[in-house]
Amino acid sequence: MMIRFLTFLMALLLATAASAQEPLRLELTDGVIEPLPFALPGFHAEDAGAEELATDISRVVAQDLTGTGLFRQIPRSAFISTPDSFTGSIAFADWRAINAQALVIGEVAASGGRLTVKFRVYDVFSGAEMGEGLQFSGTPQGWRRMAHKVADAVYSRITGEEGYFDSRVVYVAETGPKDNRAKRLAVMDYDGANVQYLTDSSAIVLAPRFSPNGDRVLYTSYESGFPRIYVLEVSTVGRQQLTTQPGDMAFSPRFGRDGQQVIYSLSQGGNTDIWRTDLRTGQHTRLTNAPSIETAPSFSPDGTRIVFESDRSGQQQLYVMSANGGEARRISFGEGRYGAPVWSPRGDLIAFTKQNAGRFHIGVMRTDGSEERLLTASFLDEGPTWAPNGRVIMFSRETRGAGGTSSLFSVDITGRNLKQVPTPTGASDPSWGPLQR
Amino acid sequence: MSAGLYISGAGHAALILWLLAGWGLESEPLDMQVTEVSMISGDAFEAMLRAGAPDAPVEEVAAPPQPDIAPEEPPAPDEENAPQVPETPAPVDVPDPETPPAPPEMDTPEAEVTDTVPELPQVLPAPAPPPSTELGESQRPVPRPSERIAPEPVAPPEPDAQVDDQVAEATSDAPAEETSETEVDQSTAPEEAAPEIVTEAETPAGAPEVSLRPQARPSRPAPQPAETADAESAPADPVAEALAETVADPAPQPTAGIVGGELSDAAKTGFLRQIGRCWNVGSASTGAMRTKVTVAFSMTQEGRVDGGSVRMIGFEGGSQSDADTAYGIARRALLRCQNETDGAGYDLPSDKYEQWRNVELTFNPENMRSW
Repeated sequence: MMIRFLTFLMALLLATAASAQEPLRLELTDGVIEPLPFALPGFHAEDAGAEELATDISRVVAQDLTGTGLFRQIPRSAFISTPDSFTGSIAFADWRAINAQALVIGEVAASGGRLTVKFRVYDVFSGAEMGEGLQFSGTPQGWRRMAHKVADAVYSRITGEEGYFDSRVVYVAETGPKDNRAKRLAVMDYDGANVQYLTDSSAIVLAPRFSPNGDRVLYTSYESGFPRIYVLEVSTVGRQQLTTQPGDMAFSPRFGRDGQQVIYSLSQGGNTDIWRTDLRTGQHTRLTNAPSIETAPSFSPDGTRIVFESDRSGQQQLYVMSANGGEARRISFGEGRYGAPVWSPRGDLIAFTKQNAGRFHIGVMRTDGSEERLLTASFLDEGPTWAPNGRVIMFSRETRGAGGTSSLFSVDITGRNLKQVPTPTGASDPSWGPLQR
Repeated sequence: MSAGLYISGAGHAALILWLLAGWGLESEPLDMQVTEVSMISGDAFEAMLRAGAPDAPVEEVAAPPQPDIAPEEPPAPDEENAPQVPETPAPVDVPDPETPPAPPEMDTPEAEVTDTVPELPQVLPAPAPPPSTELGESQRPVPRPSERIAPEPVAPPEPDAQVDDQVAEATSDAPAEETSETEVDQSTAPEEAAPEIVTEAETPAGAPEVSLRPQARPSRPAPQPAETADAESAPADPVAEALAETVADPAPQPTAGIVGGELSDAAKTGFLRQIGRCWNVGSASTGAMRTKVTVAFSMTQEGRVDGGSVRMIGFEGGSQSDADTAYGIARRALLRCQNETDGAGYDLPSDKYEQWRNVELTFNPENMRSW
């Protein structure tokens, strides 16, 4: 009896001691959403010949980061101190005092025709480096790409997702009035720099689409008088027509995941269906067979499904079917017309164009059609394309009137950070390529 | 922790010693009340039950196997102590359902309709709370101007088709001029997405930083002495006595400043608010925004986070990579906001240090996801 009583008292004592050490458990649900302030003292130049490049690279890295809308650069005038060298110690207290949450330092060296850029990223309030320092080497002519790569690494280390700065966009460059517009294919950096033209303006070109590794471009051309699909090698600008089944029109092509499958729309006798062609074997497969118009197909990232638009219900809506065809399931049910669906590289969302009540929207929805959100609204927004990391959508926006022009815009998938992408001419039909390796 | 533990240990040790020694625990025989009972046989008891039980339908149930027990003559019932079986109650006359009772005649007063608004009774205004000694006059929140509304009114859209009075010239075959200088007309396409992330945290709302403490409960009226009750002559009512004791001796209210007392909700809310100001998910990946992480850490008595103790002890909703990102953001928030008050650490009641010495804080971004 006494033993049991003592055991009970000991248990009581232990419970009391345990309750004294019980942690305080809380849940925080309200924070703030604002760009993360970062400091980027100009990259050091190891030698006099690298000073200008160091300045330019620092500027592009900062532009890349601030251009996402996720970061805010702290002006130099607020700095209390600057690092003496790339390898020197960091006075974190000085950076904490100006509320810098991330610090990017770097160094640039240019000698022997080679350009070397190295950098480090610090978490100021932890006083620790985020990842390890990295170094890129290349030719001085490729300094912008190296700056984009530095920005990609910084972005990835802070946000935890892949960047998209070292990527290119192929689009249709437009010049001339609306009723006599010259169109040619052009490729540029994601930020509008380094524009290069891939075709002349002798024939109307439409809807260029990058291959998964960015080496080729599919597009539709009217040079034969009828729309036909061509495959263009970006490096050589050589091209050849895609062989399809006989038909009146072939258009709206897009690559599959392996770069060897092409899906497109083929019009035969007034009816348009979706076909697939294997570039290696030349085999053609009909994926839909309906009296309605099926077009704008897009593969899922894993290549197992296809989303496309169809008016089989009497109005243009989005459908998903197996990559081998078969029964399609409608996923869009909102008011208005849906078109130009594009599957996200992450596979979780589908971007689309929506026309409703006289306005055009760029929107996204889950792959089952749920959680539809409209990101933009304008007189004419169309042709969405995903950044390689699935975080940003680029599209073309056309303004009203006979003098209206088309230009490229980008928007974060949260609906924030809508901004125009600078191009030297009018631009439409963008297709965002992969990260360059 | 150590002070509370030692005090608790010493107290319990003293309790053990007291119980072992048994000082003052000698018991005395209690006054027992004896009640006379009578014994009845089993058959008599069953007979009593049958007499009082309703006539339930009898179901045929398979008889269980009877054990082989030699029959034993039950003892004869004691006729003197046999229970009296109550008589079967007389059936109640059920009213005829086809002739329901006539409803009582009711005089429906005619409603008086007037056009005048009835005068409202004069309601005394609620007594204003006493002015707080901790808070000044709080500013009323001012609505923040929306960033999504265009500062200038947008011109109405043009009609769909207009017939121009002037005949437009046909286009020529001459090559078109470059239109790189063409201005982009955005007037009819107001941007619906905000160009900048502007949160309420950037604009002071003027709301009080600390919520008012609820007013103290008014003191209960003193119990009125019984006018005619005679404590000695009246029979003791334990329920009434318990109620009287409760009224006379209200439970002691928790007093602020008690060492080891429960951390108040206001202190917890204030702590969360301090951290929330620095919990910036503006640069979080979409995966991290769908991930809830729980972070454990220890704090010094000065209210500062022990940086070496911060660790993630769990997450849900995302991948490991998403959780790592979310944890990094949470860790930055913890370390950053303790410096908001000139490095003085978080504002927490130092006398309840044991309550917040070790913290497990879950960062849940669900409310801040815009989609």
